[in-house]
Amino acid sequence: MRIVVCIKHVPDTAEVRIDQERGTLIREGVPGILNPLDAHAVEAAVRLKDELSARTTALTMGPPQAEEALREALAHGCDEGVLLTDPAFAGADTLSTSYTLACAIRQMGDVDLVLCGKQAIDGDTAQVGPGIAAHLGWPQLTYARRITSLGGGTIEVERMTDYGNETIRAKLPAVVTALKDLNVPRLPSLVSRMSARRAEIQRRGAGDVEGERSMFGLDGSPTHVVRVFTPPPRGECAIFDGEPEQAAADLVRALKERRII
Amino acid sequence: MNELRPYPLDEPDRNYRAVSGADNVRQGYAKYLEDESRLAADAVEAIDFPTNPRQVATALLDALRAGGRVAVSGGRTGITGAAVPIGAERIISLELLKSTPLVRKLDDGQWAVHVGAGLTLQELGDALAHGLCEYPDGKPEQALFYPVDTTETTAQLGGTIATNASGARTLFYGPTRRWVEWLRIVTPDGRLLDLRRGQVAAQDGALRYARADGRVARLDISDLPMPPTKHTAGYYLRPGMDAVDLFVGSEGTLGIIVEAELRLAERPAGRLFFTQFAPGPDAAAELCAACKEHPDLTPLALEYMGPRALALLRSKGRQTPAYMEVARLPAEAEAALYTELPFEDEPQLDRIYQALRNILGSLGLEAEHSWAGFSEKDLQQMKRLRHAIPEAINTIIGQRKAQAAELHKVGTDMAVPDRHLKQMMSIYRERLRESGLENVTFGHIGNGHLHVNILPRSAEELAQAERLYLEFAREAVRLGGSVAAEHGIGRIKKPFLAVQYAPEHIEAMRRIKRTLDPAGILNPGVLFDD
Repeated sequence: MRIVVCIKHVPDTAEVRIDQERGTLIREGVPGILNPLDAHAVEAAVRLKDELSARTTALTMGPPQAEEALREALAHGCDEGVLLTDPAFAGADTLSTSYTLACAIRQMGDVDLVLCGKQAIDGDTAQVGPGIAAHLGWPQLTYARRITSLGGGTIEVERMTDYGNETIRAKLPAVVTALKDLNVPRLPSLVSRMSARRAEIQRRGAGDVEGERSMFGLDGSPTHVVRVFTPPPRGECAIFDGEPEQAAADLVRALKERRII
Repeated sequence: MNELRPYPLDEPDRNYRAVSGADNVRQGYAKYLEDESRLAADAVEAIDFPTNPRQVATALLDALRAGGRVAVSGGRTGITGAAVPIGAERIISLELLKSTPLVRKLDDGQWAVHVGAGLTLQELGDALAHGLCEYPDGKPEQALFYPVDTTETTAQLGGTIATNASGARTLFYGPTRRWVEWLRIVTPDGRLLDLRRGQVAAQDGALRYARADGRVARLDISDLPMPPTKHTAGYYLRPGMDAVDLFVGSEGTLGIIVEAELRLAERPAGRLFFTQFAPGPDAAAELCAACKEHPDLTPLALEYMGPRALALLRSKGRQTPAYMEVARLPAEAEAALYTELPFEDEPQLDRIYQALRNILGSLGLEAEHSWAGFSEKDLQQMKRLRHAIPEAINTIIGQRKAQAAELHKVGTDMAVPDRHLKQMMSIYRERLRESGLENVTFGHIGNGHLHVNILPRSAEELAQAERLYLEFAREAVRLGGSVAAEHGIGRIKKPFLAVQYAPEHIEAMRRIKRTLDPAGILNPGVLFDD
């Protein structure tokens, strides 16, 4: 069995400072980390590898420094790391990113399962996992909180929805996106950290990935970020303070006046 | 030269904010009446917020004329009550002494940073890391940092100098004292004194002090039997000592440190952050000793977590910011040792790795039961786990305080020389077991300096814990150690000064205090009873 984990190198939002005058994030000098939700996808892959003696490949697309995220995945137990890096990939939106990753996965040939984190903490779109499934024409099992079974050509996953948990089964190959409830990622040991540091990362450029070049990077991206801004506060806000009984009575009256209750 | 020559203020500067009236202080400024110790003062008459050294001197002179005594206030992160204004009528807060840090090259080619006393460690760290200082000699090419790493990064630099603060990396970099190059001090008579290391030192057993009335007083520098460990109990007195060292660690009793120049260290190219989980305290102590001895390892820090510390993390740590790290603790771990190992290049890292594998192998420890990383993020996670221990203790004590207000944790601060560490650890273990008191041990094992925290459940247990503390202090001194390795004496550890030193040694310190501060105006009740 072969498992691919798609990961992203993201800025450590805990270290990002805000430019007070412009209201934008200061990305300069902010260290990059493995996207936290992807760490759960990595852990899931490594546990399946231990159970089923699978081969696990961490895959990412990004600038050369995204290699750090791959090394993090290797330190957590993945067998190999593949970095798709090329100026031609730059400026990709979620459509183009998922297309490029899907091309690389298809090219690997023998992949049974793709794991992704639910979403990345920088873009928060949760679109790349489902996008990969769509490009590959594989089933997608999103918001997984538990992998209940894997084998015999199928996977069964418990997924979290707004209305409760549901268990779904799909034929392999398939794409699963992970919630943080899926597992607790292990602590990388001295041995795994050192072997990850010494590991060879496989680099692939646009010429190495079989796909429509016009679908790569900015050219293949219909989405353009026009402006980033903080939304204005919505509506008015009333605070009812004072003694709890009085405050509760005031709140009920206000809700009735607005015909909410 | 062995004479301290303060100079008078050219003219007073009263252009600073002050709050007066005990009620105003109590209502709007209550935080200035307490620090991180359990002590609090009822009130003071006024708080001054000077913004430059001249204003500090003016405030002190005015207090002197009015006959009021003064408590000096920094970040109030200390845990021995040195900043609590008991017995003082005024507080001088140094928090606004915050000019932009200025990085310059010293005559010996090393770099130093000039700071105001009110700048916090966090602010200095950020300014250095992001290049936000002034650089009259040009920006240094190498990455520089200030190596004192106290747990509380809101500590203000003036306070860290006055208490000779230290942290985990003191193992390698030494305490604050080692980094202080120059001080500007407001003396207890309201003058200013500038001291550069290497310019004024004790000669023939004395320093001399030029008083405001023109006469010169003699400060006898007796040879105190100071332990060879980390040590912050009382004044630093040693033949031939530099005058700078008299003020470092004097806990605000001899002068107010208003500006300083601090040496900076060069950041290593890389660091391996490494936590090894062990089956028990002895294995962790042996690993610590092996790391210190190995020629290929230069640990910057060596920190210990004992069985009860790990048990506490497992039971209470999920309510702390370290919940994620706690969830990942290996179930079989009974103790843990953390170290930070610098390296300049990959071949050196390989040697470090080989050395660690050999040590672990020889001690029968599993390299798989470890946690390692190279990034700032990894460091933060490991720190978060360690810091969750005192947080969890404070939560438990907070709950017990709700039942009985007088309860507080009893945290020890003794250090012993390396060769006696195992003996001291076994004394702690046996006496704590016999006592039946709830306790947690963690801390700076590389410096022979473990914090035993006792969590009493009742007033009787509190009294029992305090007796045990005194007993531990005597044992530490018997083994050639210190009663106060880093927290200082302040107000609440005064009884231990008499455990450390003979009466004549304490009298030698008091003579210095009386000569420099005859009116007893500065930090009354700190170090000595009035």
